[in-house]
Amino acid sequence: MKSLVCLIFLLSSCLVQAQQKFHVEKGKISFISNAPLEIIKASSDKLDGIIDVSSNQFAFLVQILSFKGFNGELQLEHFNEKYMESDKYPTASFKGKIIDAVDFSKDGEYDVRVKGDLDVHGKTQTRIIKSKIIVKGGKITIETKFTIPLVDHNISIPSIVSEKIATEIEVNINASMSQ
Amino acid sequence: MMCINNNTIYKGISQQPAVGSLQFALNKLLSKLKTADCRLRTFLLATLFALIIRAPYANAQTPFFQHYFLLRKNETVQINTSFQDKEGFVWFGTNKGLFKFDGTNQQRYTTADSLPDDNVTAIAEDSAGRIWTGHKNGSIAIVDKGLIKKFNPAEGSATKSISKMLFDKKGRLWFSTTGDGLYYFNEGRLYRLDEKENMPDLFVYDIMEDAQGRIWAGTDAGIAICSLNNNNTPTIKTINSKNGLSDNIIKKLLPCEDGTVWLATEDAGVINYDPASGKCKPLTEGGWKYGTISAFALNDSQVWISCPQKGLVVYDRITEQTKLYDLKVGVIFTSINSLLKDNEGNIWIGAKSGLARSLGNYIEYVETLEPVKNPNVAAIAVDKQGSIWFANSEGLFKRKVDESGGISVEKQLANSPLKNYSIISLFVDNAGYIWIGLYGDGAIRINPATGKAHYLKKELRDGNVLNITGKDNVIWLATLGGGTQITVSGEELTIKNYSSQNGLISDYIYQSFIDSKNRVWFATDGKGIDMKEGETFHHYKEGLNAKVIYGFAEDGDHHIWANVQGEGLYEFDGQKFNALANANPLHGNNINCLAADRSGNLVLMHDLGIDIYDSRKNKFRHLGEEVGIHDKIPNLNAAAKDDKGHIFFGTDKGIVIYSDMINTMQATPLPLIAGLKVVNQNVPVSQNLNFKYNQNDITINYSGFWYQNPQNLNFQYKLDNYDNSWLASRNHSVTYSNLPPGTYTFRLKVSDMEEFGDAKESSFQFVVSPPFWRTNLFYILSVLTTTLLVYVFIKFRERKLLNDKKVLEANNAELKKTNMELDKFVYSVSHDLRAPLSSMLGIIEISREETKEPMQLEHLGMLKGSIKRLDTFIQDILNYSRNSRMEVEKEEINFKDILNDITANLKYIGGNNQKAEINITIDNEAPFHSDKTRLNVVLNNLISNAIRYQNPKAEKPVIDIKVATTEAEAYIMVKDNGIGISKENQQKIFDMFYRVSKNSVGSGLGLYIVKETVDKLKGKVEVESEPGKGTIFGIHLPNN
Repeated sequence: MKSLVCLIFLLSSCLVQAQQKFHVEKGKISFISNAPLEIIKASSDKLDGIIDVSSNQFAFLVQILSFKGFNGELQLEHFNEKYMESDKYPTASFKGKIIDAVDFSKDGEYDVRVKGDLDVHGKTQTRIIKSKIIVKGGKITIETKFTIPLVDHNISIPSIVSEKIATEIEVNINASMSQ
Repeated sequence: MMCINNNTIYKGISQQPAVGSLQFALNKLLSKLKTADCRLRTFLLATLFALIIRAPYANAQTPFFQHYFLLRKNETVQINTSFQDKEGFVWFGTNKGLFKFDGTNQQRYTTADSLPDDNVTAIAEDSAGRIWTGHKNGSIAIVDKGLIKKFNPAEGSATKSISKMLFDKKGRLWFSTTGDGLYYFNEGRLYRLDEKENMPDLFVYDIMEDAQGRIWAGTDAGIAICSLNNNNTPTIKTINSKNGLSDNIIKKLLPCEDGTVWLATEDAGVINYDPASGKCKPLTEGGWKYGTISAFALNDSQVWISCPQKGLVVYDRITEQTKLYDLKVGVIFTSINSLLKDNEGNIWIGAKSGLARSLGNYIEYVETLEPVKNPNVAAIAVDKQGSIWFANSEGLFKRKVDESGGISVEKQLANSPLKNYSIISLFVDNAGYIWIGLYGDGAIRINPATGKAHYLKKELRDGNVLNITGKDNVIWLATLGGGTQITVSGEELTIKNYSSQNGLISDYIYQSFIDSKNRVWFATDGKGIDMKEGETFHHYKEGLNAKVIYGFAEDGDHHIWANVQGEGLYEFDGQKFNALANANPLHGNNINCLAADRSGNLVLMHDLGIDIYDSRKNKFRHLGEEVGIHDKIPNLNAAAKDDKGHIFFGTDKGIVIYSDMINTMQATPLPLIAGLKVVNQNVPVSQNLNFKYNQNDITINYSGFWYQNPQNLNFQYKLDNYDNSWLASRNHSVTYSNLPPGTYTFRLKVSDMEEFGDAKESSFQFVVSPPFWRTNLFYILSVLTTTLLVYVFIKFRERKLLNDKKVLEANNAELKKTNMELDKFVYSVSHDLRAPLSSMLGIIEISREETKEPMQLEHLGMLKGSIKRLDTFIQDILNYSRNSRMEVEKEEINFKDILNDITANLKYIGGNNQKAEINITIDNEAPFHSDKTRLNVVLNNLISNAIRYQNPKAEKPVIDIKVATTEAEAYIMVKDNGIGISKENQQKIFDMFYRVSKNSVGSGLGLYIVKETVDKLKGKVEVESEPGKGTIFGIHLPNN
C-alpha cells in the first residue's frame, strides 16, 4: 500500500484528470550483472506502475528490498546495505512520457521509446529507453530491457570486487497492465 | 652468395661522410644475422599461419589525445559544455564550476564567486564579449570582466536545467531547457514558448539559429522552428516524422553553409535535413549502428560524433571512412557530453570523466603490438585487405582487424625454415603478393591466398635486400650489389641484375623507385643518384651537398624529389637536383622516410615528427609534439602506403599511420593582449586609452592562443612611435618606463615558428598626455593671458599717459600763460625801464654840458657808464625775451650789410679798449635764408664780446669774421686774439648769467642768448679757445 501512495504522489504532479489509466496487474523486474568472474541475477515481482493514456505519461516503481535471487544471503545483504542502501533509498522509480505514438485502442505491438527520470539509489538520470507495448483485448503488456551504468547513480564498487560486479547492470521488465 | 660481412660494407662506403648510416640501418638486424645458406626453392608451407593470438581489447590504432585535468589529477570534473569565445579563450561548463582556459592556465568560477550554481550546463557570448552561463538549476549568470552577476529578469528563472543558450543576429538571448520549454529575452522581457505556442515538447536538447534568423529547437517530438515577427509574436513550425524527419528525437543541431542542417538523432544517426525540400539524408549509408548520439562537431571533411553506447566515431565525408575510437582501442572517455571544434582545428572532448583534446585523426598510432614484445618495427607493408605486415627482431607478423573491430597479430613463417632470417624490407605488389627482403639471405615472395612461398637467393647478385618496390608486374629490389629487376608473369619470374658492372655508378643501393614515366631511380650510398630510362643510365651528382641518397618520392605535379642524407629534400628539374629554395623550412633534415600522399603532398618523417610539404602551394605543415609524434624515431625507409591514402611508418615505438590530409592549411596562433599595468595599477585593455603624463610606466601582459602546443609560442612586439623595429621575445610581458607624452600603438604578433610571415597581429592604441603646462591649450592660454596683460598694461599706461598729458597740457598751458605773462612783463618792464634810462642819459648829457667841474664831470661820466650797462642788460633781457617769444621769420640774408652795420655800431664800445681791426670775409656761394633779427642778435653778441675782451698784451686787437654759405648751411666764424677762455670755462660760457670773471662788464646773458637763438634757428654753435691766444666761435646755421 505504501508503494501505491508513493505512486499516486509521483503521478499527482503530472496527471491531469486522467480518463484512461492502466495499472500493473502483474509485473516482474529482474536484473543481471554479467561480470567476468561472477554472474548475479535477482528479480522482484513487486513492480507497480501506471500509464495515463490521455497524456502518454507513466510511472513505475519497485521496492528495492523486494528483490530476491542472488548467489546467497550474503550477497543479498551486501546488495541492500552496501550498494543500494535500501534503508536510505527504499525505492527505484522511472516516470516520464511515451515519446512515440501508441494507439491503446487498437490491438498490436508497438516499439516505442519512452523518456523519463530514472531514480535509482537516490540519483536521478534522464533516460530514453526502448520498450515494447503489446495491446491486446483492452490489456497491455510492457516488455523492456535496458542497462543502468552504476556510475550514473553513484553506486561505487570497491576495486576488490570489481571483477565480480559489472559496471553496467542489465534490467528486464515485463508487466501486464489493465484499466 | 654468402652473406656480406660487416667489414665489406664498411669498406665500400668508407670514403663517404655517411659511413655509419648504412651500417646503422643494417646493424639493427645484425644480431639476427644468420650464416646458413639456405638453398630453398619454391615450396609450400601448409602451416604458414600457425601462431594466432587474439587480442581483442587492446592495440587498435588511435589518434593522439591530450588529456587535461582542470583540477587535481585524480579529481574528476564532468564537462557539460564547451565554448570558445571571440578572443580565443575556451570555456568549460562543468559540474564543478565554470573554467576559462588559455592553453596553459585556467581560471575557475564557482558559487564562491557568486556563480548561482556550480553545475554549468550552457555557455554563450553576447556582442559585448560578456559570457553568459546557464545552470542546472535553471538560473543564468553573466560574467563581465571577471565579475559575475545573476541574470534576474522580472519574469523569474527557468525551472529546469538550461541545455543551450545563444544570442541571435538581433542580439536577443534564447535559451532552451530540459523540460521547461524554450525562452527568449527581448527588449527587457523574458518570454517562454510552450504548448500554447505549439512547442511540440518542453524538453529541448539543443537550439541553433539558421541563416534567416529563425531558431531551431531539437526536442523529443521533432524540431520546432521559431520565428518572431515584428510585433514580437512567435510562430512555431514543427518538423517531425509526419513530414519527413527520420527520427523525432533530435539531440543536436548544426547549421551547414549550404542552408541544410545537420541533426544528431536518438536512433537514426547524423542526418542532413534540407529545409527547402524537406528531405533527410543520412551521413552514412547503410544505417546507423553506433546508437544514440550525445554530441557532434564538424571539422573540415570530418564529422566527430560522440556515441555514449559505442565511443567516439569519426566519419570522413570525402573518404567515406568511419573510424571508431572506444574502450577497445584504449580511448578512456565514458559518456562524452560535448564536442567543440576550436579555431585551430582542435576537437575538444568534454566527457563525464574529464577533458581531452585532439588535433584530428590524421595521425594514428599502433603502439602496442601484443603478443610482439619489441615495438621497434624495421619493415612494414599493407596488403590488399588492409592488414599490416611488419617485421622486427622477433620475426614477421601480420596484424589484422576483423569486422567487429577485433584485432589479431599473427606470426608468419613460424614453422618454416625461413623463420630465422632477418627481414629488412617488405612490399606488397600489385597482385597482392608479399615480398620480403632479407638481410644477406635474398628475398621471399609469398602468395597470401595460398601461403605458397618463392625463395630467391642465387638469382640475386647480392642477398642484402634493403628495399623492395614495384609497379604493375615489375618489381625492383635495392641491394648491396646493385638493383635487381624482376618481371612477374604468373608464377614465372624473369630476373635481371644491374650493378656497377652494367650501368649503375654504385653497387650500394638504399632504394629504387619507379616513377609515373616508368623511369627507375636509384638512391646510392655515396655516389649520388642514378636513373634508368629505357636501357640508358643517367648519373646525377651535381648540386647535391651530400652524395648519400636514401630514397625518392613523386609529388602531385610528377616532380621527383630525393631524400638526401642530412640535407633534406632535393627536387629534380630535368637536369639536376636542387635543394629546397626555402631556408630550412623542414623541422628536420635527417629524413628517414619519404613518401607522397594521395593528394600529392610529400610526407616525410624524421626524429622530430612528420613534415608535410605541399610543393604546389609551397606550404609546410609540421606535426610533432601537438599530435604526440615527437618521441617516435622512424626506421630508415620503413614506410608503406595503402589504397585508402594512408602512409604507414615503422618506428622504434610501434606504427604511425598518416591519413591523407586534405587541408594542409594550418591555423596560426592567435595573439592576445591580456592586461595592462600602469604605474602598478591594473587597467583593462581597450582601444584609445588615455594616460596622464605621470602614468607613463606601462607594463603590457600578452600571450597567445595555441592550444596544440602552447609552450612553442614566439612573440614579436613593437611599440609604434617608440621602438624602431620588431622585438622578438618568449616572455609574456614588456615594460615601458618613462614614456614621453605621445600617441603609441602596441602591436603584437605570435607564431609557433621562428618566422612571423603569416602571423596574426593584435594591437591597441594609447595616449600619454603631456602635462598641463605642455599642452597646446596651455600654450594658447599663456599667449592669451600675456596678450591680455600687455593689453591691459598698455591700456592702463595709455590712460595714465593721457591723464599725464592732460595734466601736462594744463600745466603747459599754465606755464605758457605764465611765461607769456612773464615775457610780457619782462618786455614791458624792460621797455618801461629803458625809457627813464634814456631820459636819465639825456639829463646827464645836459648836466655835462652845464658844468666844467672835473669832479662833477667824472661822476656824471660814471653815472652815464652805469646807466649804459643797465641799458645793455635790459636790452639783453629784451633780446632773450624776444627770441623765445617770437616766431622764426625767414628772409634772404645779406651778410655784408648786416656785418657792416654791426661793426659800425660796435666800433667804439669797450671804453678804454683800443680800436679793433675787423676783417670781414664773405664767401657767398648760395643765397642764404634765415631770421635776420636773430642772426643780428647772434652776430652782435659774438662780435661785441670779441671787441670787449681784448688781450691787453696783444699788439693790436684783430677780429676775423668769415662767412661761407652753401645750399645746405651757412658757416660763420668769429675769431679774435683776445684773452681766451680756459678749457673748464668753455663748458659754462653758454649758461645763463655766467661770467668768466668778476671784472666782466657783460650781463652774463650774451652767450646764453647766442646759444638759445642758434638753437631756435636749428643751428649749432662751437667754440675753440686758448687763454691768452684768442677765441674762435663757429656757427652753423641751416639754409632754409
